[in-house]
Amino acid sequence: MRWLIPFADVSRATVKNLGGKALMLARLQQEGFLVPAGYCLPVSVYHEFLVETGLDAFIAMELQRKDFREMRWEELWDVSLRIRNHFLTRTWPKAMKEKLLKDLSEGPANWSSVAVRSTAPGEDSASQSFAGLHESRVMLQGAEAILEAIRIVWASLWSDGALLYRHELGLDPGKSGMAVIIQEMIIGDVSGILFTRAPQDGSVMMAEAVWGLNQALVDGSIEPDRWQFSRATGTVTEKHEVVHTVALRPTTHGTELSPLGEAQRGRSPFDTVFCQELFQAGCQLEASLGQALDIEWTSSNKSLHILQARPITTSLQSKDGDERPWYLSLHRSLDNLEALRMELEQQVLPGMDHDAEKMSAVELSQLSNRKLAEEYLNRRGILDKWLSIYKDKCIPMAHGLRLFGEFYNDLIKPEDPHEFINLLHSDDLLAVQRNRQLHEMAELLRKDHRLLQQLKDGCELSEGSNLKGMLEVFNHEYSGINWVLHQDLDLTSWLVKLAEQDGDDKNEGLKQADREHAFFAQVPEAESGMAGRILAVAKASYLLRDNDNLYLGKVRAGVSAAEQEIRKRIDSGASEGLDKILPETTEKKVFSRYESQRESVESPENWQLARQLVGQPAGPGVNSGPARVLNNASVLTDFKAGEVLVCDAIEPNMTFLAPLAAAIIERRGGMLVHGAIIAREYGIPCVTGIPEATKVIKSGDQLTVDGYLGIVTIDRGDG
Amino acid sequence: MADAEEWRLVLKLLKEQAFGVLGTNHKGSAYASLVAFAATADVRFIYFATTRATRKYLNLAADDQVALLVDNRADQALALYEAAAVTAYGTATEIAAAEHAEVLQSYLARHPQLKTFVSAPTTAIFRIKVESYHLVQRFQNVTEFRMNRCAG
Repeated sequence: MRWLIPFADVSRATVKNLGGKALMLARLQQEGFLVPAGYCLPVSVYHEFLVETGLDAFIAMELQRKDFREMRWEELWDVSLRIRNHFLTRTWPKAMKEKLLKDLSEGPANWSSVAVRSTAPGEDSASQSFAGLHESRVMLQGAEAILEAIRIVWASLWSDGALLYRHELGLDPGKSGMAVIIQEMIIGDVSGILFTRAPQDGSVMMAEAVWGLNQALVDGSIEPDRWQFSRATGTVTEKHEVVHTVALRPTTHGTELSPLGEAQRGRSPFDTVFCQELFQAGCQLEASLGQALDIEWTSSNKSLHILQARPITTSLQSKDGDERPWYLSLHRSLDNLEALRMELEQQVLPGMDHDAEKMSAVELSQLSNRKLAEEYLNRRGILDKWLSIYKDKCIPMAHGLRLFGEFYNDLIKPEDPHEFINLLHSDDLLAVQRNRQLHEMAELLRKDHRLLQQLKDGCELSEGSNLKGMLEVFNHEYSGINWVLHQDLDLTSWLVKLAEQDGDDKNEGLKQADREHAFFAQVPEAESGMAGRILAVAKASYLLRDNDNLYLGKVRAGVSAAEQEIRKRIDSGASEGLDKILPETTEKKVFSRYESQRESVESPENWQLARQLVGQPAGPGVNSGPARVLNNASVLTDFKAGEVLVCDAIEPNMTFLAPLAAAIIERRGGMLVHGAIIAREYGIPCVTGIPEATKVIKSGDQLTVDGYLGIVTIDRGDG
Repeated sequence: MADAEEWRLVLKLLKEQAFGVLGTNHKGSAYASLVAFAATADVRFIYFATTRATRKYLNLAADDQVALLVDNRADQALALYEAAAVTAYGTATEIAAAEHAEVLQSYLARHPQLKTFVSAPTTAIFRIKVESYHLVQRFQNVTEFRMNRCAG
């Protein structure tokens, strides 16, 4: 029996094994609409692959590793990346491969180009839409490329967005499955979408169009023209037109954005005649399927092809707190990320820096109470503005890493799905630069025994001395440190502490050039340009991921300074006009998934002792040492070299502690959290994502941190 | 002996079950841990893995005598007479890194999902040289198999 089922043989009875998308396309084709030829690979084949390769056990382990509610988006992405890599690195079981190759040879393998799309049962209905959450692969040639794409589409059942969305819908990810559509690729001149009932106005149809292939519209890399027409008459009621300069076109290795030719540049892909054709098609499709539809189409040689049709989702459109649109916005195209990088580097970060500088220039102690209140509220407003920009611009930029991660894993198929991070190491990390400056100053002090002793005895640094000058520059550049402490850090005493400790700066400077060379040697020539661009974006993303927080930290420091001045006046009784101005919580949460959903963990009773905790291995290595739990900023200065840093999160402003730590444990999870990035830079074992860490571990507990496996062992003795 | 029904049950348990309870000596007290095991085809040796920071690793470093209980119980009172348990008694030795590749091949065939775990530099692989098996079935029937008397 064949596995591949042609659209002509698909019936409603097979929907559970094929998914709604396949059923819809098959039905449209059976009713005479122009749909590219296609086959379906049922869910049963997906399940057979899982069992034959043992992937079912791996997936179960990944899903049971941690309570889903406790995972932040970065941890979700890690889970999804690991599962995806399991799919990519499994070889096809021999019998399965032979059977599929035989089926493909009778159709899809002979088409000039092929698209492979998802069709998960329960995927698209009037109450839920997985649009954009699962992957598709287009412009494929030959059976091997199709087999590869099938695994990637299957793996996308486990994309972070899809995992989250299933959870919100109350669906059990463990019980889901994925069928696949293998379809002939139509190279459209114009492509777009059509809502037969516009989301905002049920009396009109709404269409969007771009030149070239549809993917550029779907992923947001090209802004489309948008036309609306009356559902009753087809008359155009509204036009929103943009200046078109580029189109997504097929190449030998996929697709790329290319400039429009003379005939199309600046012209709208719509015209009145074509709109009438779309309107008619919309009416016929709706009549045929009996419901309002969201359609993807392409037009080639004046023929309108229906690529996809799904019921318009109603229940989630205006639901408060639905974060799926935000999630979807994180999947940026390369062009989009390149533009975002420019904006961040040239506008956002300098903007934060500018505001922070302006704040630090104000002498707060000289302000009257009224002026101080105004200044404080103004600073809060500025911080809120930057927090909002952080969510809209900085977090999406962090997803440049995922773009490179997936490119790297698809190409190299490494055992470790996070191997790609090794290529992103950067000496330009502000935190690394700052630590280097601290160490340089400590080194200076270490060599000058007399000065060291004088400082230990409480003497001040003399004006004009070398070290004093360096400290002043350092203080100005990194004033954000004080925000963490909520008090002035006595940098001099910190330097004394550093000078007395191990002078070894663990950042050894990895052989970055060699790694890059090895990577590019494996990139096919046709893709090397693309690979270079993706790597550049990922490096910028890695760098900005830490640096943006340092700049934000400077703005926070400004707010914090005003807050401290107000508290000082309240404490001294000179606070007229300042009472009640300070909020109970200092900052609203940017995004719920940015934090764990279970932030507070109860302290266990004293007869309940944690002996071993499992988190995520975020920095390889193993080390032991006494714990230093940072649940209160004032203990920061108690930290000693060789201790294991246990904290909520390594705030970017705290990273100067990292090089001295034996290991790092963070409550927040993920391979890409700041603590993990810094730990890897310094080669320190790191485990992240243990929500109860700061509650069940006490300072002084003897810990062993296994950064290979994400295990923390607490030596409790035999008590 | 190779044909006896009881022996076939021992082989079946060791082949079909994935986990067993490992008993070690912690300074004179009993200490039990759940481990994923794999037995060799002749069941003279059993392999399991543990990270080096665990208590069972420290126990094994101090005393290599172990017991490993493998059973098929269904956790229902009515099934008591259907349950069978076999306990292997022997000595456990950490195998050298040079031997890992060979051992892991058969261990991972049994537990493919533990690849990352057993491949970590912090994980130790142990081999139990089995001296005897005790099989308990139908609640109280106990049979002992002495491996030094077993011909094959």
